[in-house]
Amino acid sequence: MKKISILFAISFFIWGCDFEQVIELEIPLKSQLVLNGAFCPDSSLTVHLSKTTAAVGVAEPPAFVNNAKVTAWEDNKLLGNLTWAGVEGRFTLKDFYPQPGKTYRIKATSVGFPDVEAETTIPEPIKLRANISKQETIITLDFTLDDNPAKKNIYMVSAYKVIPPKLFSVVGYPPYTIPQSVMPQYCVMKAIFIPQSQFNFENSEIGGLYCGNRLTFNDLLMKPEGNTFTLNVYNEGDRDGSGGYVFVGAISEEITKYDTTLGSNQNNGAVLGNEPSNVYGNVKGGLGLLASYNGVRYKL
Amino acid sequence: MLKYFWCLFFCHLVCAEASYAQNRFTISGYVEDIESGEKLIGATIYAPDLKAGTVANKYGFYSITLPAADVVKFVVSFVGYKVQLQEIPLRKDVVMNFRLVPEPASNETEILGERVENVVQSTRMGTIDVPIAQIRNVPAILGERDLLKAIQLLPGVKGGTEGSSGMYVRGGGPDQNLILLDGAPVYNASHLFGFFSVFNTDAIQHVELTKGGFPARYGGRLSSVLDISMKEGNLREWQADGGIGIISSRLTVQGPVIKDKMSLLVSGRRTYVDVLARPVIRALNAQGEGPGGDVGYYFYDLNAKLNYIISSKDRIYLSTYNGKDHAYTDIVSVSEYKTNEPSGNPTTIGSQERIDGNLKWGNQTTSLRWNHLFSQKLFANTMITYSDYAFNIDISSEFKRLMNGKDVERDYQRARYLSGITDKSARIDFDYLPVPTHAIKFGLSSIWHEYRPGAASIRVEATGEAVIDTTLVPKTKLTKATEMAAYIEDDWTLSGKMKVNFGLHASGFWVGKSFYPSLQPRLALRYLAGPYALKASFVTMRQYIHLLANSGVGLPTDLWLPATDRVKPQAAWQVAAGVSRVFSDLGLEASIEGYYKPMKNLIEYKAGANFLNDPSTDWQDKVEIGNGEAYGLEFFLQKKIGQTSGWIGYTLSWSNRTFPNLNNGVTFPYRYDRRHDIAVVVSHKFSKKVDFAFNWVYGSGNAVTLAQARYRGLDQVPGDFVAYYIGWQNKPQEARVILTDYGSRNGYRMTPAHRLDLAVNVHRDKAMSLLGKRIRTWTFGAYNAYNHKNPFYIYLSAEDEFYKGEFVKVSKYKQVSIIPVIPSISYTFKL
Repeated sequence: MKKISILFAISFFIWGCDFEQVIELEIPLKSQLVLNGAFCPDSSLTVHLSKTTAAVGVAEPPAFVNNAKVTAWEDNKLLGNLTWAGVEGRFTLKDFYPQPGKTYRIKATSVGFPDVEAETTIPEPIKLRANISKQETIITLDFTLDDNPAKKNIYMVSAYKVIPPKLFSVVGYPPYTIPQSVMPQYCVMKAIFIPQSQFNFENSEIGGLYCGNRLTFNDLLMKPEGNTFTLNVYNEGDRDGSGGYVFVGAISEEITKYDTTLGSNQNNGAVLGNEPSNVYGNVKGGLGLLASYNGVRYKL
Repeated sequence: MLKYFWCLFFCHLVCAEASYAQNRFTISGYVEDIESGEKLIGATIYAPDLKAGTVANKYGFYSITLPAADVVKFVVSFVGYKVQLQEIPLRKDVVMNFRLVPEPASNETEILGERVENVVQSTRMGTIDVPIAQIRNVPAILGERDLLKAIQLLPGVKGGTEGSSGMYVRGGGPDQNLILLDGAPVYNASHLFGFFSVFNTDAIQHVELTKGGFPARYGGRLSSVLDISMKEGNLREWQADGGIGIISSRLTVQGPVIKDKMSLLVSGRRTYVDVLARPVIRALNAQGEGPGGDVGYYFYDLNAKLNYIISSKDRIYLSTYNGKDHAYTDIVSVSEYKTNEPSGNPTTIGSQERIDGNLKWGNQTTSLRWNHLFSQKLFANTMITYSDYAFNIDISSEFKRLMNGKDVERDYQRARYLSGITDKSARIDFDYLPVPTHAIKFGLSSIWHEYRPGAASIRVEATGEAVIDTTLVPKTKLTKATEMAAYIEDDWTLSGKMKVNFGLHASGFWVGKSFYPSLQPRLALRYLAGPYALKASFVTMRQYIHLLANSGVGLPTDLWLPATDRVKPQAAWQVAAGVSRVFSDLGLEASIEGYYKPMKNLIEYKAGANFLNDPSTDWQDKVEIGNGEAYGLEFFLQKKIGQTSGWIGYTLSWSNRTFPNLNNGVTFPYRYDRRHDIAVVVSHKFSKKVDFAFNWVYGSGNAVTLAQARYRGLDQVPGDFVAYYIGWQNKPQEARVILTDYGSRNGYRMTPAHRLDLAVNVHRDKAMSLLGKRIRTWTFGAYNAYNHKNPFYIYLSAEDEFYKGEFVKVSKYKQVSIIPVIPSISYTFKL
């Protein structure tokens, strides 16, 4: 009896020290449509449609949605239906280029999902004066923004390199062609009128967050008019590529909101530490972001 | 309007006093313990024949004016003491100090009927006075008696996560509680990251929690006032109390410096896990299996109080508290090897790496109080206090490359972070008792705050390079603010059935160029309907201080911050209504209260922000501002006396938050919005030698934000390209942005938490020739006796599993519980 009691006590303590347990939480997946799009006057009106996947279980990539009816309006005037572009989840209004100052509304309908709808306004073009100079490994872009000082303007600077399709092969595996892709570049931007304010937007390697290579700022805290920004792009010579690009442009406010909420979204839901939060979205009835930008791309 | 009201009120008061004075006399004095001279806060003095009574204030002083009589019969009572009946002739003003005799619990119920039924008589709502003896009996984790954990068992008070000593009162945040220790505010009331409270129960005499219906004398917080009074010290004889527990020991010594004139109390507590672990760590280090240095943690509390009776009209109290937590590490690792040189002289090459880290935080409070009796009807307390809370991280690492014992290369990095708050205050409070129908309190106070919202510096030294010594936020970046307040309140007996407590609390807060004035009316009504007391109250509150916390579990990293021109003061109003009744024959007090409390200007960190990321950013840029709302119903059944005592508390409540920039502006539940909370606390005395206590608690699940779905994010700005990486089995994978949808903030509930805590106390008396009588108590306890796995937090884990012929990531929710059944044994003594 004494031995049984001791065994019982030991097993009770072992059981008691099992602090972590898998739990089945009843979180029903309410499948939703995800609408993403970033309009600019240089590209035809294009959106991507996909759907949500469960947070628990096998981590498969969220699937695209190809069978949907996608309709576009310009300033509440019907433009027509976007057609599937033959690429997964991609719908486009062929040869239609959004115009600055106009508001575009997109509605997507697909069987089994609630309808989704979102709208965005294309920013007016910015007046930009730029000068590019090159040294051995650093490409410098000096630019000045001449915009409307009476209006809140939001800007974006982005530097990236286009990697052409490339055959990849490793012994023991079949070779594979990696499609054309982009790679963020390491940059430092300095607004010279603010001493010591260097915006470092070093990005992670490929495979990390692509969005991380954007720098957005508005002129509420600083007036960029008449001031010169200097952007140093560090050319990574050991990588293949067609040369770097720098984009400077005005963006809709949705992009800033989206970017600022991205970081906290990666928290895995632990109660301790930072509170996890959703990424900003403006799609009614579903998830995703419809945004716009208007700017200039410089080849470095 | 208000001006006319106060004019009329003072006219009424003057007339009332004039008419009463003609044929009435005042009896006043102190109520104290006969053995120690300790003042008995809240003791009741009642004249049953005249149906008039009063309550001793927090200094044990009472005063009551009654019609002249040859003899007036008084009943003086206090929980845990024998009721004293005394007949006093009242033909002139009388000063009478009542000295009550401690009484064994078993006899008290017999004379309960003669006690003043305070819960029914008082106008105050939402106020709970828990006898300290009951708090000491509540079973505790590791046998460590814990004041705040006992308070958490009261209705309307929630305790946060499992094991923590946080307090969330009526839907409010942890910053909305004003915790006063002898009048000085205590800002961080917990040790060990929230697991133990800083209050040593051996040094505490009285605790009162006010969670609604605040009288005008209280201000500065929205949700509660926890007023803790330290013991004054034994005026008659020296005594020592102590205890030895699993993780800490404590000792309290008190006695007369000058008999019946001056007493001193000194009390200390310290944990010793670090001391016990040190030889083990050293032994492991010697075997190469240890951490390679010293690692440890301890906390301590030190209380001291000096009480000096200058005269029958003047008393001085000087009390101080100092408590600190210290987690430290000092790890050194050395490696060496010798090279074979052709010359035959070997060279010793090596490296030394040292990591030194210190995490310290703690409170220091001091208060100096002077009680003065201007007359039998006018009592004054003047107080100056000092309170400081400081948090300090100091981490350094040093790497040296050595050659033949000499440094040839050195890298040194040091990061420091300091934050804290210092308060200095002065206040004067008056108790004016002109006639039995009026008990007036008025006073003035001023607090000078100094906020240190996070000073950070980094120093980097590397051989051959310039020293970098960067102060990200200078120490001198203090924010100073001044808070001033004045108040007046009257507890006015309108008739035998109707009583009203009304008052006004006026305050102002100066910070930078901003000034925030506030007028806060307070009203509480009581109406006797047979055996029932119907009560209602309305209060407005203003709070000029914010707490910026990442987790809400009471971490030392939480920042105390002032209201500013951008972040406005918090504000709330609260309306409550309830019914109370005393069941004299059963010795029970019962009450039901409902409340509604909307709150404004609450702050939360912005998504992704915390105290360390980008310390040079102004904290005001890291916060969101929003509103809150709390409402609920509380049921409380308490038995303070008799062989079986304790309480049952039940709370049904809701607490929500609305922030324009959080959760898309949609209202969401507060993290500690728990629908049901039940606490059953029972202590039973089997005999003089054995008593038993248990508490059982149940709480609905806390609200938590959990991932609901994953989806594709926007990844094409600018251009329309996709990045790829080479994944599992050489397959190219799109580096698309995959985001997590958390649904609504705090949209899920953890599983309910419940546990049973037990304790058996075995007492032994032993006569000792030198020390007199010694009382020893062995306490055997079990926390979470049936080992329920209560949720501490839930996280989403991603693990590799073999699925359809390949390894894939599989996500699962995991719940972490931290406190299993914990048996304990402790020993306490009283000499």
